[in-house]
Amino acid sequence: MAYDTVYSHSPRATPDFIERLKALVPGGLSVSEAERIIYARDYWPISLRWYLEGKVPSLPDCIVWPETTQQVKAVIDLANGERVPVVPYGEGSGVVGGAVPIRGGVVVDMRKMNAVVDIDDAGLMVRVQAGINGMNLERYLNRAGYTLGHIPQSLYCSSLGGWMACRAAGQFSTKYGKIEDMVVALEAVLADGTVIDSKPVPRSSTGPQVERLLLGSEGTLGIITEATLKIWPYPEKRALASFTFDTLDQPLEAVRRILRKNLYPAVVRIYDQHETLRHFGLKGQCMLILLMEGDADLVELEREAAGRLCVQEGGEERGEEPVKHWLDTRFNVRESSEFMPRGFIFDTVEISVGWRRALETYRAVIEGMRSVDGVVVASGHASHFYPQGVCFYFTFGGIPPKKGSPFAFYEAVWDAIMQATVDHGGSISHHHGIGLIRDKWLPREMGDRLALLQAVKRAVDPHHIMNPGKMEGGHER
Amino acid sequence: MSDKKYAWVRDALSHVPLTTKARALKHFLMGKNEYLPAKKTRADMDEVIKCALCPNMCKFDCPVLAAAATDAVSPSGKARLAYFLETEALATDDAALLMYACCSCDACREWCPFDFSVADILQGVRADLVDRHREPEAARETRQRLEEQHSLHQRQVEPAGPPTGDLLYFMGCEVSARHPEIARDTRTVLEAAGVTPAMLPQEWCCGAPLLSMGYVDDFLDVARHQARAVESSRCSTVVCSCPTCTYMLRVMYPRHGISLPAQVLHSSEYLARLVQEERLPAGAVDGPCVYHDPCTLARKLGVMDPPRQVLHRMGMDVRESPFNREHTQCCGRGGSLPSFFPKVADAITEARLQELHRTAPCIVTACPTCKSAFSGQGAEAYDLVQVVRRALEEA
Repeated sequence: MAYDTVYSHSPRATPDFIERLKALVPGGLSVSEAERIIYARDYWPISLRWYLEGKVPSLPDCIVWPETTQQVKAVIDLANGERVPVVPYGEGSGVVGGAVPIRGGVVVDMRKMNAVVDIDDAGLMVRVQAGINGMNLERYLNRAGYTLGHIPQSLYCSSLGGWMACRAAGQFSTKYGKIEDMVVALEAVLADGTVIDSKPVPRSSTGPQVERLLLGSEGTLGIITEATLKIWPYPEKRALASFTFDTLDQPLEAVRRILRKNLYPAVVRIYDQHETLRHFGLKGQCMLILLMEGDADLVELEREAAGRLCVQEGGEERGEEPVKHWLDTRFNVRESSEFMPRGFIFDTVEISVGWRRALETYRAVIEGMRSVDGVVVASGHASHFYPQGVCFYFTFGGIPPKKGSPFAFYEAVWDAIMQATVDHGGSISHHHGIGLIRDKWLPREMGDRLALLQAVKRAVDPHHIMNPGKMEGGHER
Repeated sequence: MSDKKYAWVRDALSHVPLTTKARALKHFLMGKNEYLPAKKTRADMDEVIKCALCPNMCKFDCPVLAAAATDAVSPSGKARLAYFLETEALATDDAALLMYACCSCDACREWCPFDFSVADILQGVRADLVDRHREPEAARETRQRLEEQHSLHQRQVEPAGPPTGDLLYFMGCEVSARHPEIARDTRTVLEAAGVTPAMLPQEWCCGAPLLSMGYVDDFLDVARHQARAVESSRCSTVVCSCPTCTYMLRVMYPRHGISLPAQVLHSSEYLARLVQEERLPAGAVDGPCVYHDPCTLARKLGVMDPPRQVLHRMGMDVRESPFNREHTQCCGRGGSLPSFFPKVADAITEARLQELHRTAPCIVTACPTCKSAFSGQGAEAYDLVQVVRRALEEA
């Protein structure tokens, strides 16, 4: 038995192209079949099912490991000349298929560009290459007395470049912001080979910040090679608090009021009844956990003020233990490993919505997921908050019906979530990005803005080499 | 399903139609075999699959990945390829070779929600490759060498000790071939404490490379030989210089059904015992040093305090690396990695040396292989017992 590929394409790189490419990247090039299998994917959950069935999403023609921005440029220049697709690769932890090389070509693994270039203590900034692993960056900063404050669940297996390319958000985002809030400046190689860099200044009124087009571009406009990020002194103190409520509207209201008061706990998480049972073993309750950190005096004040509002909204104080439990288990990603081998299909889907329609959107999405035949688990929590609204993070799991493919089941649940979100005026992604699974929803999400994005794409990438098949607004598998 | 941890699954099932519930239960209870290979494997396929489906949560701490820089050697990457090899979806030599891209340091285990050791997972995969005659040539060569000379390397020093004594000293391949001074110093230190060490007339390799490379049957033969040899020494304590020998004799032999009629200790544990019993005098050794925790000693055997206690007793100013104790980093020489990927092994050594040198120029460790790795790149590196011998001399 041999493996199959899901997205078939003919090789785009000729042997001559490969030879010329090899000369440009002393750090390495591979055409090994084993390595191409590994770089055929990211962490898109449906691809795990394919993999168990002996299928890989899509083989690249080769993988390269550049060590400098100039080498990245050389790769892109050559690929441009030969019209060969280029797909940037950070750590391969994306969950929507964004790094799957569906048209083949060259995967550019940025891992070797992982140096911390400089720490500016006075300006609280770090200059770092984009290929660095998240945990290795955070560990480096912690040892030097700082934190980035960007702690996604994928911290251990994701990269700075990946965070920027899909506009990631970390678990501590309510205080520290999302990755785009942390980026002060960036350097990138555009699809046409132009190298752009911006100044590490706090702000400038010099026209639109065009370099920011790269943030969230998912590798379709170029490759981000370096960035200057905001950092913070390692927090003096942490305070933990938790509350349970009878119904989901109560903690949502409590958190809305907390933010309205201009209080910003680092971690705020509200679990619906299903997830409160799953994560904390409490039935018929909704758990709210809060983690405040920073200056010792301010942390105490924040805890008291936030706690008062929670009690006012009907919360029952549950102490520090649930937060400690969350801290201890927040990186335990076990569900896919435990349930996929038994035939279940799992995924998580994040959306955002304004406060006015938050609760009804949550309900509509849960109902939408449940309406798909085969869905067993349909639950959600809220994990990122703003004075304006909230990000809901839904989980679904189930067994595909006997008739129809696993992908059809998977896509049906996704469609239900996307439709309910669009119907309620929400945004179809809060921080995982578009990738392959959300691409067909892009026109409904962006409306006429999609034409602007496509015009930018045509201007920067006239030969359509950068991560083709993504951010196109209509991709079908 | 009665387990409390699945209460949420029962709750979820209570919300779905009967037909879905029945289908889900059937899959939950019986679906586990659906994706297993048709043939029986030596590899634990449950572990292979779970590791393969993980997002690679331990990858940031994998020294092989850091040095080789390809996701194909990341822990989960190797498990994915292992799954394809075991299910015969893939049968290429490059994939088979990648199953040996591991230094057995168990850094992965520190971060694994399932407490898996990728080295242990790969051991089974390699055994399956051996059964199919698909192992790399370097593995065959090692096996042949061990069959012919019962040592990984050409010995420089033959055992020099009585066949019986207060304890049996097991020096190991690395000491006998590359660090005879460790054997001499161990003997000197033990005798100074009034202990007579016996040695085996013909010491065989502990078998760790055979087990690691998938030659399980050969490993069992070696383990049985060692059990007979220890028995014939009539010693009730075995002291090893090498953490891997200690781990094999103490943990892996019994795990494979072969128990030694003696307590097995690493030399640092025995020296710490002598210190505690005040059978070794306090020392005043000069200069600061950084102590490097050998992976096997710290992570697999949990021995972290004894070497430090000994060094403190010898008066040494011991500095700590930020990556110490169970968070130590590999020296690059573990798991037979240099036999398959010598450049990667060298790069791991270089990275660890840089890290250690940020703390102190002089390194003390408790593993002859770590010492070889560091001194091989020109660093000043000592085994614990050498420090003790020097302290005795200066006392």
